[in-house]
Amino acid sequence: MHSDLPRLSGTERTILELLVAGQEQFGLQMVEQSHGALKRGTVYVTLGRMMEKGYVESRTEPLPPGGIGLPRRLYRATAHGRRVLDAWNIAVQAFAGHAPREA
Amino acid sequence: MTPGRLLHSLAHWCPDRARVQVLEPLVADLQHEWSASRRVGRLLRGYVAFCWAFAVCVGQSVAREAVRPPPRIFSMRVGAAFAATLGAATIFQFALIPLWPMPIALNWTPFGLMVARGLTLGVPMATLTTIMYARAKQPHSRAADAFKTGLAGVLLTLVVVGWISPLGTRAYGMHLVSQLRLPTQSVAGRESFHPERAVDANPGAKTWPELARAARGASVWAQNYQRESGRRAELVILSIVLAFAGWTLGRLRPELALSRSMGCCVLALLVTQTSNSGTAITMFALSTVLLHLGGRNARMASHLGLRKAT
Repeated sequence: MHSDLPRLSGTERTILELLVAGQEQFGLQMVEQSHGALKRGTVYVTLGRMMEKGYVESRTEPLPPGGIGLPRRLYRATAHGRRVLDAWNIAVQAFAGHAPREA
Repeated sequence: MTPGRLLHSLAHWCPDRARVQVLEPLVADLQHEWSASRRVGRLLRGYVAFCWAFAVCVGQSVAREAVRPPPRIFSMRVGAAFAATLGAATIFQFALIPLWPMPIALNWTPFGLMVARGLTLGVPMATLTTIMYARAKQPHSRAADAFKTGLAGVLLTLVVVGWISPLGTRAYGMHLVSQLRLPTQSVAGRESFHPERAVDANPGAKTWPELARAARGASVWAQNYQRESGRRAELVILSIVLAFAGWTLGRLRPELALSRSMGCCVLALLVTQTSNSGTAITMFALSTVLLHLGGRNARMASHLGLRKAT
C-alpha cells in the first residue's frame, strides 16, 4: 500500500478540471462555473488544502488605483496538479466498464 | 461602505495560513461581488460561506494543536514543577503528624493516607505551579500547551478527589479499626455497632459515584454526603481557577517578578482566610482575572514605552 500516492477528492478533481480547462480563476468564479458542484463555503478550504498538496498555486491580484477592500486571489493548476488529474483520468478510462462482479 | 471588515477582523482569530489562504480570499471575493452587483442576497450567502469556512478553519486548527506534542523542554519543566509541588504537599502532611490527636504507628497505611491527602490539595496547587513555572521560563510557549497541562491537572484532580483520596481514607480507617481493636458492640433492643460499617459510612471514605448514590438516599447522613460532594466539586473548580492563575502569573514580565510573588501571597491569603470555600474560590477567580488584566495593561504600557524610547 503506497500511502504517499497523491489522492484526489471529487471536489479537488472538479477544481482541477476547471483550472486546466481555462485560465487563472478566482474562487467565486469557479463556484459559478461549476453549476452547483462547488459550494462557496468549502471551495476556499479545498483550495487551501490543494495549495498545501501542491496541486494549485495562487497569487494576489493587485488592487486597481482607488480600489478598496482586500486584494483578490487568483488560482491556477501546477504541473504536479495536472499530472495528478491526468493519472486520475487514465485510471477512470482503464476501469470504465469493468465493474466488479458480485459474488 | 465596503462590507467584510468585521469578517476580516474575525479572520485574525485563525492561524495565519488559514487566514491568508482561505478566509481573506473569501472576503475579497465577497467585497468584489458586492461592489459589482450590490445584491443583498448574494452578500448574505457570502456571510454564511464565511461562517462555514471559519468554523472549518477553527476546527482544523484545534485538532492540529491537540495532537501536536509540546516541546520537550516544556514537558520537562512541567514534570519537574509538578513533582516538586506534590512532594512538598505530601511532606507538609507528614509534618502535621505530631499534631494528630492520637499517636499512630507509622507503617504503609498512614503513609497511603498522607499521600492521598497530599494529592488532594497538591494536584490543584501543582496545576498552578507547573503552568506558571513553564510559562515564566518560556514566555513564547503556546497557549495550547498550557491548556493541555491545565486540562490534565483538572482531570487528575477529578480522579484524586473522586477515587484516590477516598480509597486512602478508607484504608486508613480500616487500619485504625484493626489497630485499636474496636469490638462489635451490641446493646439490647438496638442495632449492633460495627466499626467497619462506621468507616464505610464516613463521607470522606466514599468514592464520588458512591457518594452521589448515597446522597440521593433517605439516610440521616444524606446531607453530609451532599456537603462532601459539594466540597469535592469545589476542589475541581479550584483547580480550573488555579490553572488560569498559573497562566496569568506566568505571563507577568520578569521585571514584575515581585508582583508575581505578591500575587501568589494575595491569592493564598484569600483562600485560607475566607471561611466559605465557595466565596474564596469566587474571590480567587475574580482577583486572578484582575491580575490578568493588570498584567496585560503592564505589558502594553511597557511595549508602548519601548516604542516611544526607540
